[in-house]
Amino acid sequence: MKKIVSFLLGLLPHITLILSLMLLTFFVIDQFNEAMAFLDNTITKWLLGITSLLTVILSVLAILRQPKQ
Amino acid sequence: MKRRLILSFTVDLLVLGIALCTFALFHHVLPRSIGNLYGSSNKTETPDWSEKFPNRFTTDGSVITEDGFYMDSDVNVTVKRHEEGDVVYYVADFYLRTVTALKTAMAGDTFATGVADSTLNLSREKNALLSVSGDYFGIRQRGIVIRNGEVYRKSKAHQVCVLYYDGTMETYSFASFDVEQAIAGGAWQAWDFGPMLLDHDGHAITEFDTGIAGPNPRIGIGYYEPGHYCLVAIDGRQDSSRGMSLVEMAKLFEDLGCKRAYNLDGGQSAVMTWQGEIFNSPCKPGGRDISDIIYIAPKETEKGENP
Repeated sequence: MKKIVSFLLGLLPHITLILSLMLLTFFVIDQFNEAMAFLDNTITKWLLGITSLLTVILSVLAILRQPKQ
Repeated sequence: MKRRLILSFTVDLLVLGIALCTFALFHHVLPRSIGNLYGSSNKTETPDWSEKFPNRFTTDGSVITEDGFYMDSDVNVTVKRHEEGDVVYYVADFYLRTVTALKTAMAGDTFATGVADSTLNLSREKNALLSVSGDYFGIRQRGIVIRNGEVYRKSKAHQVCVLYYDGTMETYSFASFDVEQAIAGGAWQAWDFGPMLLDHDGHAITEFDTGIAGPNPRIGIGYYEPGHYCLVAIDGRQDSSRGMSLVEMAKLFEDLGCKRAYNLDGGQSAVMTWQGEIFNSPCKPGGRDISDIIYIAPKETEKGENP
């Protein structure tokens, strides 16, 4: 069980990185062709939500792991 | 350690590529039929403008065709190529006996996302005399779609252009547009792309808050008065023609004397066909496959309708 949790926690930054890069890609191509609605669609909204959630989890973990002053 | 890091980032980038392809597949490749959810628009009176424009239509049912000109008992169309400096554009000026001669067609004859065809194929399917690419509604999940009096989508996304059964054409800002009012008012066609190019006094708008304001190939529709309209195609992204900015396009419609004008899907989509052939010079040969066209087809020649 501990191994699985450790594996999942190790996977989190990679998933967050991939999702963030996806959103950055959409942001850039949306500047050139907003008519394609790369940002304004259901899939992107879900991706944004998931990315935000993962970022919150990663941030909390990072804060908890900070060495005490 | 370093090798492991490089391997890890390489795998991440590969997964990113796969994820982007999957997104594209669901975003604009896989066809999703939506169907007509809202029924028809309120069909108000459709005026006959044959008396208003007495010399614009034949009265004996004959057809007159010349180079860049067509006239029959229902429509009168003149198409012209213009070259000004480093810009080439095409103006199709037309008079209609009734507004229902200005039609739209959807790829696969269905309201769906992910279904697309070339403007030329769609125009040939409908035996269109004149056609241009529409607003490419199929690429978005939002945006007003009213076509040939049928209401397909009610959620607005941009500024909206409505052509009513009475022949008037009106452009609306996002905030001022009320879809129920447009339906009750007898909307024959409604496009959601924009922006609108002229203000309500017919003067060119000089500022546009959009990322596509620079020189590009473009398609636009203009309105002079009920029964008299124009379609404009502008070549761009080529040595022979750099395209027009929205400000230049707005000025063009003002100079043409239009009262309302509206920008439609341009770029690679920008195609105008005339008598079954591509009339302009699209930046991508044949143009991009799109979901809809605006066209004029003399009733006698349109496929699927009795002479």
